[in-house]
Parts: sequence; C-alpha cells; structure tokens
Amino acid sequence: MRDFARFVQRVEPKLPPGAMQTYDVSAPLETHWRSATCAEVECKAFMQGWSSDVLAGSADEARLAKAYEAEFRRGAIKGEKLETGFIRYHFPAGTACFRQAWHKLPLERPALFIVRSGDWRGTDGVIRRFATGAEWVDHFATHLDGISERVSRG
Amino acid sequence: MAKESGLGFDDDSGSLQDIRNDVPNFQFALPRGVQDVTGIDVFAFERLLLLADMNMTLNGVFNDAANKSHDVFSSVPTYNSGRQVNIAHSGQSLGITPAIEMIATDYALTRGAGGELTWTVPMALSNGLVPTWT
Repeated sequence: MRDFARFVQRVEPKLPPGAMQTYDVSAPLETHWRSATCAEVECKAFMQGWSSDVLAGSADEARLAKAYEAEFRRGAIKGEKLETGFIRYHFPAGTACFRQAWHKLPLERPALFIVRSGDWRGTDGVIRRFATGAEWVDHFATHLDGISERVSRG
Repeated sequence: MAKESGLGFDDDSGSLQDIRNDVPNFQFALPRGVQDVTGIDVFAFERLLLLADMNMTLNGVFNDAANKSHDVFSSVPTYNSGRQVNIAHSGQSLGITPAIEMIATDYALTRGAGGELTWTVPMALSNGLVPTWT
C-alpha cells in the first residue's frame, strides 16, 4: 500500500514535509472492519445481476462452473452462445458476485485519532494520540483558527 | 469510524453523499505552525503557501452501491470542478461554513495482499477558503 501510494497523482505542496502537520483518523482494515456479504453492502452486481463472457471450454469457464456449482445445478445461471465462440452467462440478481470475499463493513469501533508531523511525503512520527474524537476536533479547530487568523490578517 | 462521525462528498451532480462506510482512514495535511512559514519579506507569498498547502488523502474500500464511494469518485477523471467536502464529528462539522471545495486529482484502485480492493483519493483545496470546524 505504501509503495503504491507513490504513484498516486497529487498536487505537490509548496512547503517541505517538515513544515506540515497531518490530522489523521484511522480505522485500519485489520482491526476495525469485518468481512461482509454482497447483500449487506448492497453491491451493484448482487442487486441488479450481471453477465460475463467466457471462452467456451476455457479454464475461466471451468472456474465459473466450480464457483457457482449450486446455481448452475438449479438452472439459475443461463448461458448464451455467442458467434465469437464465447458463452455469455447471465447471473440473476441475488447471486453473490465475484468480489464477495472483498466486501467489508466497519465494526463501529472508535477510530484512532492522531496528529503527526509531516504529510504523505514523509513523517517524523506521531505528535499526539487522542483518546476521543472530540479532543482531536478541538486540537484541529485550534490549529485551523491560527491559520485562518494569519490569512485574514494578510 | 465511530457512528457519530461522518464524511460527505459531492458527486458529479453536486449532491453531498455520505460515504463514511467505505472509508477506513483519512488524513488532512496542513502547514505545521504559522510561525514556521512566515516569510521574511512579503505576506502575500506566505498566504499563497498556506492556502496551497492544505490537502487531504482519503483511503477507502471499493463500494459500487448507489451513492457510495465509487459513484462519487468514478467521475474524478471527467469532473473538473471542485467538490464540496464535509466532515462531521460529535455535532461539529468541518467544511460547511465556509463551504470549502477540493479538487480530487486521482481515484487510484489497488488490490491488497489480503485480496481486498481499496482506493486512494488525494484532494487539494481549490476555492481558497480556510476550512473551519463549526
């Protein structure tokens, strides 16, 4: 994730990271989220159904047949032969989608409220960790007040 | 995120959408201390720096349900105006008065080692207003 972040298109700040401070609210996927079903997240494929084209007799087709064995047996998934040699499978609404293992929902635990030095380019570490969001908001508001006062002064 | 916190963003039709269920974390980067950036000559330059250097990064979990994060951010490459941003916590909100706007410069999707599909949206302040908690 961290390496990937370098390739994200951003507006480069004019100040060096050392002159920046970051207000961070964090609910890490590992500790604050749980796996969820398609129905819980109301994913589009599950709600509306979808169709997928796979090459007849390919490994993809075998994988689909295995993953959706029960649905195929029930006749819920219909295949339509295309002229190109592909088969278009129509998955009805209510079928768990291909991304079913990726769906996540928050556990509603309190998030971690942090102020740290630097920004996305680099950090010297955490300046302060807050027990409650209200304290974090208070610190954030005081800091913004200082900036806005300076700006309005010209 | 706790139930009392919220995150709202404009979609491409300008309506604020609640996407907090998709966002594991966000960061708001600001100039560290006002004194640190005081120039020795002109104030105007300093003010420019202060405003230009507010940026935000949102990290989230892919969700293509109606009016959730994918609906809101899939228009990043085509929608050129600033987006209204609103963050709420414990009855306080950031971004309403004054109504700040930010430009999203990317909607980068990545598949994590654990198989989850996550996204990153960096944003920079675009309408020159200093956000305030009210």
